[in-house]
Amino acid sequence: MNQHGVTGEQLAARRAGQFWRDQDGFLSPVRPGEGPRRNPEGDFPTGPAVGTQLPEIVALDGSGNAFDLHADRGDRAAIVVFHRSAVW
Amino acid sequence: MRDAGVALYAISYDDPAALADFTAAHGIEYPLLADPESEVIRAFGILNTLIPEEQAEFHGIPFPGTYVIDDAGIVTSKFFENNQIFRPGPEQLLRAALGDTFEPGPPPEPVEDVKVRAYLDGPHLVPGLLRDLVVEFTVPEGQHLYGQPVPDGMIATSIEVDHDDELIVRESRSPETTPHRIATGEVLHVYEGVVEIRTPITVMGGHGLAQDGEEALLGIGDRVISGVARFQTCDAEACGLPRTERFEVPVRVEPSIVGDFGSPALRNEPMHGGRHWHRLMSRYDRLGQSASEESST
Repeated sequence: MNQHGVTGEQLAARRAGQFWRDQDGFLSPVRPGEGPRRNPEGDFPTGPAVGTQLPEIVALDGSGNAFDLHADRGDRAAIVVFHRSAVW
Repeated sequence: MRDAGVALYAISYDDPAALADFTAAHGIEYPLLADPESEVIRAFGILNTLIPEEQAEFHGIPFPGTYVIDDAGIVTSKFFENNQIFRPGPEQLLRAALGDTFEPGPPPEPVEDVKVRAYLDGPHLVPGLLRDLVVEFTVPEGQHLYGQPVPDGMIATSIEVDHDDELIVRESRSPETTPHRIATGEVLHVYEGVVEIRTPITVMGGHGLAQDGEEALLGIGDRVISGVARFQTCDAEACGLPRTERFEVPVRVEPSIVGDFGSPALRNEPMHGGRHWHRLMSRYDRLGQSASEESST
């Protein structure tokens, strides 16, 4: 259990009460359009600066295999989007 | 983008299975990469630290943003917003990837007078998605418009969008001017031929609550983006008076995909969103485990 004496299962159960359920029975973590944006105010970290090298990116593809972005793009220009989630 | 030789990737903290389902459900043709431990997100220094670890299903997401890199992997531009509703449209990203230059295309039909044409660079507007409102000026041969810095008594070429509570208007971008030396030796900063001024716009709307408290799609449908173009034209001998010309651009506002949730009208083929959401919730179990490991050492 965590420092507050609450198990992961209990935490999940508490949060389950906060599900939004639509008429078709689909579950959503939040009401659509009210996802956790936690908008930062003022300056916030935005990663590598313009003019610097984009760091290595080795992540997983849809099959769970390692995917090296720079190896894949070769010598092409690229657009790399860091988004919050495809699930919610 | 493929035609332009520009690669496109997206990365998130989702599990590979969730991204595979999303790819299949929506016919995505570029790699959706999984960073479920947020290793890459942390390595980039953009972990959203405003979300506490205790919120295990959401902790690990980044401050969302987009990097554009050149063929050598150098960052040439990046797009991050304080309000995460806003994001750059694909047309803006492609322009950034290609160097944001303006190629006027084949010479237009000769015009007798300055022709102003306004249009949206994109098929429609989507709430939060930034697209350029383009105002294109075609200048008769032998004449020019002014950019900044503008000579005394002249006006620069500019546009202004009419105020609209639901419209978000960002700062306009004007191209570089051409230096034009006149008889006195003074150098003027002018525009000749065809020139574009681009203004990023978007609308507020999408899912929300209507006045009666019922869930509704707000800001969707047809609207008109209107405004004025201001310019002054001169030839080698004389200048005309400053001019104002109105423009009106009819646009459609369409809703964005809301994952697999929301009204059936918007939902795409199911991507098993509920199942993947439950897997995100299971991150709470790891939270409990790591805490008990701490207490036992």
